[in-house]
Amino acid sequence: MNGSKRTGWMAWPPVVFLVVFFVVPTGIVMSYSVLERDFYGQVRPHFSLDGWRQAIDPITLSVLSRSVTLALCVTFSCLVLGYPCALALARVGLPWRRYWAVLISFPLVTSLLLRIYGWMNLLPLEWRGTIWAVGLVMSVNYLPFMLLPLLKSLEGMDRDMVHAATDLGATSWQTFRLVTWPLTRPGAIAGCALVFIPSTGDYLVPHFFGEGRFNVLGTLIVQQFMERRNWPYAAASSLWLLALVCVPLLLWLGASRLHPALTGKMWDNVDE
Amino acid sequence: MNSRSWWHCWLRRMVLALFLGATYAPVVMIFIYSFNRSRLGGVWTGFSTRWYAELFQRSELWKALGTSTLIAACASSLSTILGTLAAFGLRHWRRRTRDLARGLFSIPLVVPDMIIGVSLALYYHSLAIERGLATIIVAHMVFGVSYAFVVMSAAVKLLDETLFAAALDCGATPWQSHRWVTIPTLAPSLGVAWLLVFVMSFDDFLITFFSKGLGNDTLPIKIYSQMRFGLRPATNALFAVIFLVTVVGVAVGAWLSYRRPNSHLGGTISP
Amino acid sequence: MQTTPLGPVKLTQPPKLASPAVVVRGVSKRLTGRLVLDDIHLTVSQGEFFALVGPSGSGKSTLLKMVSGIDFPDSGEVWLGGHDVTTLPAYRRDVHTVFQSYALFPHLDVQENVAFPLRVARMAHEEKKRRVAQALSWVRLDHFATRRIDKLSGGERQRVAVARALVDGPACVLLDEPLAALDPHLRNSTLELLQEIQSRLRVTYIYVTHDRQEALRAAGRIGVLREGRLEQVGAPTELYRCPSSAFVASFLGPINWFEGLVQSGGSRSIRLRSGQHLPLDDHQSVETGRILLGVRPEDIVVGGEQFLAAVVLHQDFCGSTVTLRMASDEGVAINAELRGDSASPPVGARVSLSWPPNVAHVFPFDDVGPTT
Repeated sequence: MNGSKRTGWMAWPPVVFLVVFFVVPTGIVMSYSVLERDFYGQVRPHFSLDGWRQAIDPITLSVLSRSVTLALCVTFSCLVLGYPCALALARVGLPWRRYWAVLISFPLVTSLLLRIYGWMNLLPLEWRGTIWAVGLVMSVNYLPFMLLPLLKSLEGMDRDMVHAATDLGATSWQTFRLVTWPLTRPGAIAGCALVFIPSTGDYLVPHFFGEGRFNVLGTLIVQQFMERRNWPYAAASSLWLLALVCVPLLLWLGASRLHPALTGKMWDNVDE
Repeated sequence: MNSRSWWHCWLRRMVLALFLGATYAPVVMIFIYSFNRSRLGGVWTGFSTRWYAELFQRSELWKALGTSTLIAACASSLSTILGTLAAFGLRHWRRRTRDLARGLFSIPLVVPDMIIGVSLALYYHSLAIERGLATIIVAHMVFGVSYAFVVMSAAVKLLDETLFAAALDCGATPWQSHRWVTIPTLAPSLGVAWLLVFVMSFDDFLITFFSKGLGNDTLPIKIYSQMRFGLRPATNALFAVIFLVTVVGVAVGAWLSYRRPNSHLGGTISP
Repeated sequence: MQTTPLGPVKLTQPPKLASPAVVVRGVSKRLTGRLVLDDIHLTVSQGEFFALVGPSGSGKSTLLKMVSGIDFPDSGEVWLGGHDVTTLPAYRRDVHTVFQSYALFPHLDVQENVAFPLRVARMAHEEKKRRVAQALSWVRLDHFATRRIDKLSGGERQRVAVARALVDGPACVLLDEPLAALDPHLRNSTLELLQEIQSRLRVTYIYVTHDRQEALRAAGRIGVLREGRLEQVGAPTELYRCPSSAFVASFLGPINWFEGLVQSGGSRSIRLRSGQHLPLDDHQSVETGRILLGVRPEDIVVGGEQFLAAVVLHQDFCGSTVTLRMASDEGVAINAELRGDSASPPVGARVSLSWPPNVAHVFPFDDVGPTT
């Protein structure tokens, strides 16, 4: 088709847009983390390592470890809760499964504030201010992100494999461990990444359910940015967040290069 | 084996019921309490629609609603255009750069909102850009373009290359072919992309929080500031309304999605 | 197709009586570095059913695109109805294509699809309706006008594609492997329908297929493409009985090949690897060197004179015929086709094979693959 080569130019405006408004700003965070902060909270264009120094002090590190632990626990509980749901859903007949898919992903398009508010109605008052409440709400929130990739890879698995395993004498647990789990691992890994990465930077849930009694990375950054106006420190903390995000991302990309069967394609799973 | 599969069946149903309950219980509670006459959350004193009535009188909520809608409409329109351009253009890039670009478009969807928010706030400050409606719209477009790209690249992939050739073959000029074949085939997906970005933008809190100036309060921002003062029954009513609007939006999106052309409309063996 | 100041005008009757429908002159095309079409010369007369055959990758679809205008040749000319259309884009040429994937527009129903060329030509509504109904009747889809495309079966979609290509009465229709995606039992009836339409409307067909049976059955003339070159063009009987190369002979039907040497210029036999000799007919003049001698299975005589001996390995009963699969003493596979009611030797029997004079084909050695 003549002229098809010419339409390659079309992709440049959006690429440039993202570079200008996403890639470059992310780099700017780096430079702000090494600037000086004056008494009134303004940022002065002097080089200073105060931001970094604060970012590696014990308080920050404890916040960091709490965030990572929380994110890992949330990921794990989503995995443990999500697999049975996905297994149950994969057995549902075809037209109904589409409706279930809508039901699963529907919360994702409702406002997070709405869901938080609803949980605030539900949870007993004594539970507020504990990290367990935060973890619980986060787990239910992120469950669709785990369910959708899992369901997709379960659907892609040939049902006859399970029948073959049972035919050869495997119990339900053995079938899961030896057949289902290895074959759906790409979906599980995608789900874990899709849950872990946003959890590290969550703000609203820890803010409302932690009631200020403890900080995670998200609340720390907002606090330092908005209230304390300590932008270098906030920027440095954001660098921590970036690192926490990049490490699993790079691991995942690297794994998909080496073991294409192990991981699925990232953008295939980021779907409504 | 009979009793075992029976047990399995019930186990599955329980799991699904639990899942549905956990996911939608909060929403149900909101609906229930929105009709609660009492001010206090935990006590049910009777059915009342007073909170809905009160909503109507809150002018600052209407203003915030208008702001949210305006921002969402602008962000989704611009994002859909950019995302569609990317979907079309990237097809003709070389594989290496194409995969890189695809990765670039996927990243905003995966990283925490916090990063986008903080980085843009610092960026605007470093360029001494005054924060206002435009800064919010641009911020929403960062994830908007990514969402639109994901939807449209799937749609463009389904668009049979030979359809354009067939239109030419039937005597249509390139312009006519695009007008009568390409665009109508893509229209449902364009609608889905637009709706998706609209909803994401409308509901967004964190990114808006970082990129807004004084006075441009969107609805989520307003709700957030009210939630700091504890639970208010009128907020239940507000949420109930927002939820219903979202249901309508999703229904429209699902209907549009149904009208998308299937991938197997070519010469495949079918009964 | 005549271009006037107002734009292209489709002529309603053949322009010059003597000019052929399609002339391809010296067309070459290179795609991603590979020479896909190599100096093609072809003339198709009006009202002719011309089949273009060849293995996959031989350039058949590319040649079709040159004629339809979807793509353009690197060198050479394309003439339609006596006019040079080489530089004209597809939408200005009076030729339509039935695509392999049908390429029906999914957002339009059957009659809107068929009416598309008329809509483009801005035809009046009443006339459009009449023509669409007529085209649908040709393909026997009279009552399908308002059906949605995704509700049709493969065969029905194919017929809609044919109707769309015929509706505005083009001079020539190009068909790109139209039966390839259909169930086998549907292919027969669809091919018959295509033949019927062609003869009734006297429209020129250029019919691309890799299935030799279709071409032999339906075409008035066949062109055999091999790696971008036209090996031979002629009537089916001519190609079948007098192939110009081993490739053409092999492509048009199963044939038994014997590879051997002609040792001297006036030699009347070829020497096989085992030392055996097979006779050459008087009219076949060959040069010395490696040659291929081919005999069709239906020409092999079993149990008469002995040119060589073979053992029967298997009998394939095919209804009206029986195919004997045999192996000669040096392991060459030989198939013979006998009439179903004739006595056939049992499996394991050793038989003598020969053939009548003047049926063997002799060619210089060429790589044609295993006996089919």
